[in-house]
Amino acid sequence: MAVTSAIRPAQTDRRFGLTLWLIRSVPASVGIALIVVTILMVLAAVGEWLWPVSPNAQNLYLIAAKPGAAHWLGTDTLGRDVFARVIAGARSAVVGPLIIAASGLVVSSLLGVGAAYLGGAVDNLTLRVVDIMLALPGLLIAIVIVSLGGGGYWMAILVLSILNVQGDIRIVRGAALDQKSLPYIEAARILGIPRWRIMFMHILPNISAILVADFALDFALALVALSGLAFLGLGAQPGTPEWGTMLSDNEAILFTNPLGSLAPAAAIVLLAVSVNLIGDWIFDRYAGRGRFIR
Amino acid sequence: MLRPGQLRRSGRRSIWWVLACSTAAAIALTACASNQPTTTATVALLTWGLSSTPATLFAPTNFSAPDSAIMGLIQDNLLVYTGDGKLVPSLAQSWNAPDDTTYVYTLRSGAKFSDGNAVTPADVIFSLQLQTDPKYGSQESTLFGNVNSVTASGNNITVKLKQPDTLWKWLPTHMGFYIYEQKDVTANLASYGTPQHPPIGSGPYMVKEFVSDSHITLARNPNYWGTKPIFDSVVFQIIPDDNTRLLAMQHGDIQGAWNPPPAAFDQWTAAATISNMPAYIWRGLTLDMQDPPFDDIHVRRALYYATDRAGIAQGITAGKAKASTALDDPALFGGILPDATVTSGYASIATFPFDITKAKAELALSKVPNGFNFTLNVPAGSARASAISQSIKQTWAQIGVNVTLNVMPGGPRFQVILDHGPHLGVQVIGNLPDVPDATELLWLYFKGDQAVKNGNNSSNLKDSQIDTLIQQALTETNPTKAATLDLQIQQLASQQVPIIPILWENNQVAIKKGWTVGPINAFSWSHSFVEAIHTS
Amino acid sequence: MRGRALVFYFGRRLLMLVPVTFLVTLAVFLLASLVPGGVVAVVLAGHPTDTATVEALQAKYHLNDPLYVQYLAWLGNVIHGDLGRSILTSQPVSYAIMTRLPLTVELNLGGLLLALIIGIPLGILAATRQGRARDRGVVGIAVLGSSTPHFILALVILYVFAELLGWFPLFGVGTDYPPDRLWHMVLPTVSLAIGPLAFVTKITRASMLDIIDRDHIAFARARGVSELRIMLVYLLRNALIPVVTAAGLLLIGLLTGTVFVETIFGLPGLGGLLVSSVKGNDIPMIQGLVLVLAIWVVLANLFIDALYVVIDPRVGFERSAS
Repeated sequence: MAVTSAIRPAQTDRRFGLTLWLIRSVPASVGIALIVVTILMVLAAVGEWLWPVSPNAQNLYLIAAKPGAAHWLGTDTLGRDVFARVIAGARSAVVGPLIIAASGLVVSSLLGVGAAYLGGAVDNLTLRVVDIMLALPGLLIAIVIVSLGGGGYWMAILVLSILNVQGDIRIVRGAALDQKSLPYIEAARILGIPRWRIMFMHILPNISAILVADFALDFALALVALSGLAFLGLGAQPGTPEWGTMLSDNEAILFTNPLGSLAPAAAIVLLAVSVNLIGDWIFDRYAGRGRFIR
Repeated sequence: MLRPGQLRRSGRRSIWWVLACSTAAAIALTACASNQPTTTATVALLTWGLSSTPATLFAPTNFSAPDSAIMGLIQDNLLVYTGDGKLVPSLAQSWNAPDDTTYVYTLRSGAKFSDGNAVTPADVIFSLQLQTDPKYGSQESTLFGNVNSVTASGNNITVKLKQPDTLWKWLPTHMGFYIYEQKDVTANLASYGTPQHPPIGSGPYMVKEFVSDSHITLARNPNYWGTKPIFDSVVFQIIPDDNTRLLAMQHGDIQGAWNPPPAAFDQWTAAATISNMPAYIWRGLTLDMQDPPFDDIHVRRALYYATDRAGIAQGITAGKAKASTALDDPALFGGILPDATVTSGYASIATFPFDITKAKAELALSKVPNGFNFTLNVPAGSARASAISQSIKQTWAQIGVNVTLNVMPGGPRFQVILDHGPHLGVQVIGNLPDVPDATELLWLYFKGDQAVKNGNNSSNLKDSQIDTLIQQALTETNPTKAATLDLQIQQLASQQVPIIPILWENNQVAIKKGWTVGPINAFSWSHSFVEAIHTS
Repeated sequence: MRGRALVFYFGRRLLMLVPVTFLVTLAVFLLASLVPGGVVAVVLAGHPTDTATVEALQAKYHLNDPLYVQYLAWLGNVIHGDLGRSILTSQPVSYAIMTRLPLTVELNLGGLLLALIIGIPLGILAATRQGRARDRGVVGIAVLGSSTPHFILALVILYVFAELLGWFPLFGVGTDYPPDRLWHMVLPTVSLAIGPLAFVTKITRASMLDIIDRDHIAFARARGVSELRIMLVYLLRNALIPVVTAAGLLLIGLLTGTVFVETIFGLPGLGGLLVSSVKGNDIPMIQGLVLVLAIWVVLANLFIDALYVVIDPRVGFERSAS
């Protein structure tokens, strides 16, 4: 008898699905956060073409101009329009953290669930590796590696992805362990369902809320880490509109056109707060309160 | 009196208050001074704002022109450069050159180090050996490569060179030839110049405190042989953040700082008096003439046309730097050649002012009329290099040349130049002459034998006529003849467009309002710049 | 699991220190050495160069020796307590680190204490008033605090409190006079603590909410135990467990934020040293710093695990197993 749909543990008849999240009572703050994130995602995809002013056009004779009709947020150290650059910067602010969080999701799903369910040598090995990685402050190691490796946006993403994975693996493993002890898993095993099926068609869907919440938190942390690296000069090619780099470059004109730094700072905070709000809400509502601490 | 570290703000002060105070102080000082013509009024403390901690205070382990301003308060040179081609005795009371390759310096008697020991000829010999002996691994040793031997008899120190050298006579004024105490250095060689073993010198000041990332305190050297400067004590306060330094200046926590960032120039001008200090810094690009497509002169000309040098000078340096047309700043010839000669010498240098139309036309004559792509290495940590390269990227794109900017940490970036591999392409260069002689930069960047591994000629300019001229200028002891040759070299080289000169920069000194800075230039600030500050 | 088992367990963990730090320093050493143009190119950049000078410098710092010789020489020295000498500043690495370590420790401890002392009560406050205005307010601030990057916070705080309001000094650590030192450290510590504080608030609130409904609490209430006693004895002790669990993460977060805070406030700590030595490819200094940091993190985690065992005797060895 083939079982094709995920067996739910015997709990309340609370069901959840993507569509229902939206229909349920979403608090106002989370609603706003969702709108903000959507807008930024849209900007990341097509922002450059929506706004007529070029983010890269320099005007060496109009450095650090104050906001005005021609430049809504003024100009930066090379006379470029700050507003256009903030919009263009949405791309690097979204893409990088997305990749880091997604890779964390994929790897931790495989390794975390695998380690928890298969136990024994696999579990031990995973734990050892994760423990060693825990010994290192991630961002500091990232600073060392990215700096020695010559900097660059993609190198930073690679390094941060690798360092981020260990936290996710722990969380997923913990969640999967909890599932493993529940009777329905025992039932599935007795029924003869193959292991990989149990792991990825049953356990995984049941912990998906934690995965999503974790994804959101990863995104926010990665955003902060990437902009931190950019602030130290380890970000993308100079001239690329990137919020962290803009913040650092325009510190020099903090007293002439403060918006040059404040605008990208506000953008970073806005995105990070929104994603955190969404992640926290998912966590609070669907993942059980207080048990799986990040 | 403020003690170092006690620099706290005790409330907002307005600019007017500071102005009023310093004017009052200046008036008081003038009044005092005029009443006692024989005593010079002294000021208790000068606090100077630095943007970073000097790596060390020992020249062989820290070849840094800005830091030499501090070292020059502690150490002495044999001679001092005062401007306009004049060499003035310092620790050496006299000198002469019996022939082309021999220089004799007579050491002043009675000069002492701050620890009470006399300055002896052995110390002078040792100080030169620090540069010539490879076991010391000194960073300035390239400049002293022409020294054959140094000996002493009595108070006379004789230096013999391998070949006649126009640059040598200036080197006794350079930070590479500070006079160190042999006993003290050899006892603490590995950590000399660090906070644990601050250097000992015979200059006007001595080190009282050296705390990394915090401050350096200098007090008067009681054994100094020369005229006492007016400040009893000088404190260098290390304030890395540009904005914080500006605030410190506004609030009177510091009375001076170097090189206010151009972006905040207006605020600095309101808070302090900004003086220009000639430094002859050259910034530009070298184009590898052996690396296609840069081997095509039309490409090189086109790129020159497509570089907005005037815009860069205006926008990136707030107009403080000039758009350059050659390696050497014309001011380097001041006092050596008449102005008219210099002007006409520079007028004959081939230049290609910013014009995109002309750039496109020139490129159309080349092998790559539709443009091409390449990668430019940009040193990290230099806002100016970054800004210049971003400007180039923008303007060159307009003629179809697409530049990918590759930011590299300073070491690997410079290593590419040192390795002198086959495809040097375009390199971003910033340099300044170490001596008041126009020949040095021409030698480093245009001479054929420098187009090798560990050399600086990244353009791979190998022209036998230019090489002969440079060799003549290097060994020419008559300064006027050498200068004439230099002008000729620049004019000849410019025909081949081996470089795209972008800026001639100077340094700016910000000083408390009401004070002034006397004539000072880059070659004299490695020797007691404090003497140029006038509080009245 | 008391007595000998405990001692063995922690002894084993301490021994793990050796291979971990060995691996980490080896990895960093290889990275730094394989980067072309090490420190020699850094110090010579923008100056006249020739082969003699380059080779003399390389010989002076043994940069031409084979990699394994260099690493083993370093390792040998480390065992004797000699961490080598910085190439850029000629200072002994251990001296440079030891003079900066106290400040970073001060900053981190201060930040940790601040985060705990304010965060835990705030979390409890929010939990006990769940759903109402106070809770929302606290949660809102917590989200803001944990989402704002350290460097932005530090910049804003510096600008507002030191420049606009003039309440605190702009830079430096002040004199050794304790009140002066404290005054200089207030702004940096606060900037550093806000992120962890927000985090602690969130965790405390979450775990308080989790247990506030549990049966034995209700039973205690029914028995008439006073509300205050309930809070202190039952709730607090149980609520602290997740905080301790997360303390490891907290410490790492603090260490990371230190880099930015020290840079912005111009404090001579380990963070600034790390950044400058990495940019200058100063291999001995980088090695020394990574070693010290790795030891710090491992020891801190060990200490927290020990604390965890003390607080909750029911639990087994591995926090990570939960």
